[in-house]
Amino acid sequence: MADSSSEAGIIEQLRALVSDLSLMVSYKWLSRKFFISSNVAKRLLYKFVEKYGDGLEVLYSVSGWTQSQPRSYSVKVVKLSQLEGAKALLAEGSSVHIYSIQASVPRDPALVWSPDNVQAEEFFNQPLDAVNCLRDNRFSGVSCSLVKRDHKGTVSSSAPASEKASLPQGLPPKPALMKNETSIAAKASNGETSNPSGSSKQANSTRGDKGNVSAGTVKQENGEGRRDANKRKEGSATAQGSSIANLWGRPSNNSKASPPKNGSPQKQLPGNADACINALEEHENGGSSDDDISNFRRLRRGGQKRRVVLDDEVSEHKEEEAASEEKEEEEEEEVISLISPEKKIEETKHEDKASNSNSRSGDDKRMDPKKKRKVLRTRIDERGREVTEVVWDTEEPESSKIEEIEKVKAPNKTAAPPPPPPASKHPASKASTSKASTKPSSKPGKKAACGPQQGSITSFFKKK
Amino acid sequence: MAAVAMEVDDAPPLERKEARYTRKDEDFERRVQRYKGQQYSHLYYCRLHKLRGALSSLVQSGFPGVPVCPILGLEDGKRCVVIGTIYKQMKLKPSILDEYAKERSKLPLATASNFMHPDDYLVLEDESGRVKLVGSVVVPSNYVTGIVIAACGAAGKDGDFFVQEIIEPGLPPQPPLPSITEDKYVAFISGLRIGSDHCDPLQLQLLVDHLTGHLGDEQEQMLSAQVIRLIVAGNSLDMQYNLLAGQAISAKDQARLTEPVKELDLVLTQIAAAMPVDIMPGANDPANFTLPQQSLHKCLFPGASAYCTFLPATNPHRFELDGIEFLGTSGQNVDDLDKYSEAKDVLELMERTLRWRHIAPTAPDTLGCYPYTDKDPFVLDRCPHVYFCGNQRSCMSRLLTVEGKSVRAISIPRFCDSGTAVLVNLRTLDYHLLTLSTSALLDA
Repeated sequence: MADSSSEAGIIEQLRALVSDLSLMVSYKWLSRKFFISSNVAKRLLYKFVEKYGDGLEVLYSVSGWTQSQPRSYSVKVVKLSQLEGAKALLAEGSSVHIYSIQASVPRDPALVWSPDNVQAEEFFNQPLDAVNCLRDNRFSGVSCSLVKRDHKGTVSSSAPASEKASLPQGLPPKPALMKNETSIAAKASNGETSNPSGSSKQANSTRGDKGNVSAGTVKQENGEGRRDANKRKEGSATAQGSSIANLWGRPSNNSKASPPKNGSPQKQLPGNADACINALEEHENGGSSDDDISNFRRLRRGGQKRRVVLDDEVSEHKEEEAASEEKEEEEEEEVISLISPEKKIEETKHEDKASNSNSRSGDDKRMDPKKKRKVLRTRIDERGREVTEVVWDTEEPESSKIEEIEKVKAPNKTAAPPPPPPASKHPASKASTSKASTKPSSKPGKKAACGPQQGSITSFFKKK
Repeated sequence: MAAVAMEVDDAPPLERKEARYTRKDEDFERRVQRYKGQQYSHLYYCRLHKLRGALSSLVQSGFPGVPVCPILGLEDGKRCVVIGTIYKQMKLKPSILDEYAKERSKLPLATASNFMHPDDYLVLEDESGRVKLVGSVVVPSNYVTGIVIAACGAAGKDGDFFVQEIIEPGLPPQPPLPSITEDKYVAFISGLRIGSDHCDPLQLQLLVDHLTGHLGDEQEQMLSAQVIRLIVAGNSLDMQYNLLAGQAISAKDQARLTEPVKELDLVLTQIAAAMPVDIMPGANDPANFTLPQQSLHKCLFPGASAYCTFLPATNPHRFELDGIEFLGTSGQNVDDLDKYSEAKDVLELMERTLRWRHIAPTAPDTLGCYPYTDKDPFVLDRCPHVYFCGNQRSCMSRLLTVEGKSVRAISIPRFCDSGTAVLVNLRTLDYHLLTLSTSALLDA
């Protein structure tokens, strides 16, 4: 029979291993090495010892119920000389089998354990998506249908190459999302088929698990999305023109796209995970209005598109009353408010733009050489303060909120709608001032009430 | 070498039995709690409030007509019942102030294992005031700080309360024990202490092999197939915390620090691949110090946490298997009780905690505890069917039958010392031990 001949083959190989290499071979080591079940390995060892056992020391495992109270099941590893004694202590029906064979038995139990451990560690250290005999316990005598392994939930430092290939760049978000899901499902089914003890019930529940996992992460994403709005923008900027699909698709993609930002792989993942999270969340939020998606897409696709938007801002701004600098400062936000009808997104966009422009000012400068330049301009505003601003060098003397440096030189004079005085240089307050500046009508009243104070500090508190 | 996959088994592998598992750790998880600098008075208040309700009904039925008085409203000589929290004044109890005292007392500052002294006395305290408890019935060595009791007696002229009888809340209500038709076992181990010098890896490997169904003949594997779950009750790791001296850790030290965790992860992967396993943190594990300890983070176990059968649990841990309620800790509560009170054995301490309806009464006095503001998670609402406690010196178990409720109380021995695991049969609530031994190797 094929089995007995392969058994004989194994026995021969075993002989070589034990005698020539002086290895310590336990039944478990044998089973994992030659891909046979543990019970078969034990039988093989027994045959081996019968044939070639001379000169070898054998360790036996004796197990059975003890005769003493409290009732206890004892498993012992003993040498041949102790075998009978150990069996005598146990009740009827004790089981004996060979634990291991070796040239000489070491005194230290850890040395008996160590070859098995080395082998187990080899299996353990394989990449997380590899299913091996350690991970699915396939050679044991007892199988458990409850066991399901989902390596996707774990943090893996090396993303498999196949995942990257499956998601082409530049796809619009919705089809990319669906593709993502199908690739996950495909991987789930791959994982299942390779598991020999899989059953249909297992397959269904694995998919259920995936669904749960993704639902769970989506919920988490919603919560985190708001707070990480900034990170999202940063992620998009440094993706350098790659589409939302990549933000979602694979963390490793993002890691490749943004090498300067991220150091080790471990660090990459949280940031990119956030980007993915935010991309997903954004998608969900923006799903209600196509305008938003198109806006996000436009704003996402690097500086080029953004320039287009700003051009629109400029042209639209001309149509509005352009009297105050306050209007000019809030220009960007107002324009965004025109583009995106939903106010909530508008406000987050304020913050995004505010903090992003802070971080990306350098990039922007590089990216749009022809349309706009940023120059430092010093002027006196209505309240008599000298304001140094970084402005876009265009026809419109718009001012961005970036790096406004104020020097309060003269006390506040007029009650005219003053610009929101960002007395502190914190981006947070800039964000809040930008929010406040969207309501210019309310401002004059408040400012008038403030009166001839040193406007900076109190207005800082007010803006909060 | 050609790798041939042979299916020469006479029989297909045995199917492991299953049971319906419900985790009930919500009270012990600290998800929405935020520490705002609060102190422990809220915790004590919640405890008193909850247990007073249970005590009131007992008092009314046991002492009809005897009024329940607040402590400040005690009248001399009038028989009444007071309900409050016990405070045990202990002479030898270590106080942090002693370390800063200018004059060192004659008593050594070294930690003793038990801080009892004949001069200890009990004080009962409720919201209004405190009163010292005297009387022959009052045996301070049986009580600890933090339990809520009712005392029936009368106030004496000297301001002490002479106690005639002490009423404890008693065992909480217990859901009915479901009947299970087949033998299913739950295995408990604790104190693996992987990474310590005297932990025997071969012994642990034998345990893993036995539970996962590799070891033994078919009969033994049938036994393994009946084990439906493994609970690891704390102290699985023995990490070298002395390496964390506040300085940068060298690469070699880093490897030494993380090696036990990787080893534990490998062990848990092997187990999780075969059966469901719950792991609880213990006093020496990399988890928070205060009770309830939160579950070990899954980043410690990258291999094992991929399995749905792997469940990091809190300490204390409460769950239900096929309708049978389990509750247990990694041993800190009982060890602390042992320091401040006297009992025949660990099981008696465990029984007392059930009678007091509180798993860890010495928290927060001498046992670290989170300052909850809205609840006391250690107060027992329901009596478990199996009550376990890990990291004890030896395995002991008793079926406590009190007031018609029966609880299987088990103390789980430290595996690194004893090589013993405990298995409880769900059908009968009976238990047996599983001993694994490699000591024969050391003999000549």
